[in-house]
Amino acid sequence: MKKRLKIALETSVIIAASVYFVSKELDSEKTAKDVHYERAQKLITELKNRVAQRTGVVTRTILRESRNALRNAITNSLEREGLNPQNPSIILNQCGDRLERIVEMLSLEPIDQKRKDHFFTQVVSMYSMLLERASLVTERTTRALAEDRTKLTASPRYRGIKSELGTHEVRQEFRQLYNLRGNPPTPRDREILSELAALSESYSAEIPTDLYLASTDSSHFSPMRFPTGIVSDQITKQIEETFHVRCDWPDVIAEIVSKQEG
Amino acid sequence: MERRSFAVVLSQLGDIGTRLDGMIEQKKLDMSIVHPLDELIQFSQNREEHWKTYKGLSTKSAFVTYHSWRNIRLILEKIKSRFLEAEIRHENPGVAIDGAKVLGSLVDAYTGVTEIEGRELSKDEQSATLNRITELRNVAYSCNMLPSIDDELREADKEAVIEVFDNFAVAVRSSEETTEDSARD
Repeated sequence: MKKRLKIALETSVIIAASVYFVSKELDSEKTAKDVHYERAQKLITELKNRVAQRTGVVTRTILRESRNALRNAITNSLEREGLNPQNPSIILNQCGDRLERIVEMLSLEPIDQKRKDHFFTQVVSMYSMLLERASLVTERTTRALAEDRTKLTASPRYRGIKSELGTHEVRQEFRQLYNLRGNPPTPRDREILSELAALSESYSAEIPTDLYLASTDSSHFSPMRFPTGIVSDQITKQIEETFHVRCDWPDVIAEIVSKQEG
Repeated sequence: MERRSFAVVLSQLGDIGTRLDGMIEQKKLDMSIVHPLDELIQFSQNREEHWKTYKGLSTKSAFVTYHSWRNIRLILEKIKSRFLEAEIRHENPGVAIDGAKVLGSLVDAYTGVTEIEGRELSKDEQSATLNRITELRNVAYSCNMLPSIDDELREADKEAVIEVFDNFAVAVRSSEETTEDSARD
């Protein structure tokens, strides 16, 4: 039996799709947008076509965070001396309106607070465990692993070069875990994940469901994909294994949505 | 501006509501609504100008107040222009129905900003005030009473807006994305 598909949008995706500025009053080359705008917009377009199926979802925390992120960025920019408040006001209207149009096509899902609290402790434990694992990713262990792999694959003559290349690859392979040390999850990240875990549980109690979290945050949710083809996804995999929530980039999820029939 | 003036303005908004109800009942446009709308636009614009340069409060509190007045003025102007267009096109009073729908949120935004005007705002008050403006714009959008971005840009320095936007796009991204290496091919 085909599983139901639900796509939750994380704050980073809602913001990426909202931060876009185009007007007939401007030259076309003056159009400005977020760096992840195209990726986010690809998913938004797919979800727009599936409003009736209620595929796109959002939680109250994500919605609040998204509105606050826009407003805070605007009000913080005001601190620059002599800034005419008219310009930030125009931008807040433009981006705020785009955000509201996105939210209108998403279902605002209620979250069982007790289940959220239950999952919150699990989320904290999971990230603690990942941080412990991350502490093992050092320059020494990275080199040792690369050398070990080289021994099996390269002739003695080329082992030096191959080992250097291997070290670079191993670094990329474990980058998501490594980055976690310098960039641990915020309380907001934990809260969002515990809400998604509660949501996944409640969906699956109804009918079998695949719940995705679309995010451009590769430090805590989505996998890191390098041009070399290497994917670093230790955190992403752990989230899926523990909470049955699949995190990925919005354009990747857009492909999944488009392939699923009606 | 004294509280008395605010009470007078609130009564003018009530008067506009009565006129709109009358138009809906009689299914006929009454262009005498333009004059009180003009007065309210002028009043809002004065408040907006005052807060544009006011230095007596924190920048954030002053901005929230300015942004509120500016949006109230923009939507009042849009209501007025819809009425003027409706008269030229001899349209039925659908515009009165739209105006009546927006008026409730306009009164909420107006009373909200008069309550907070002139004092430092807590984060919750800033958020609540901006939420009222968001709600006003959402209702105005659903009634085709929302000024377009082109309307807003016509009264601005476009180059400066884009410059602020570019800085803003970086700021909002950096507050969201805490890693320097997001690693996407």
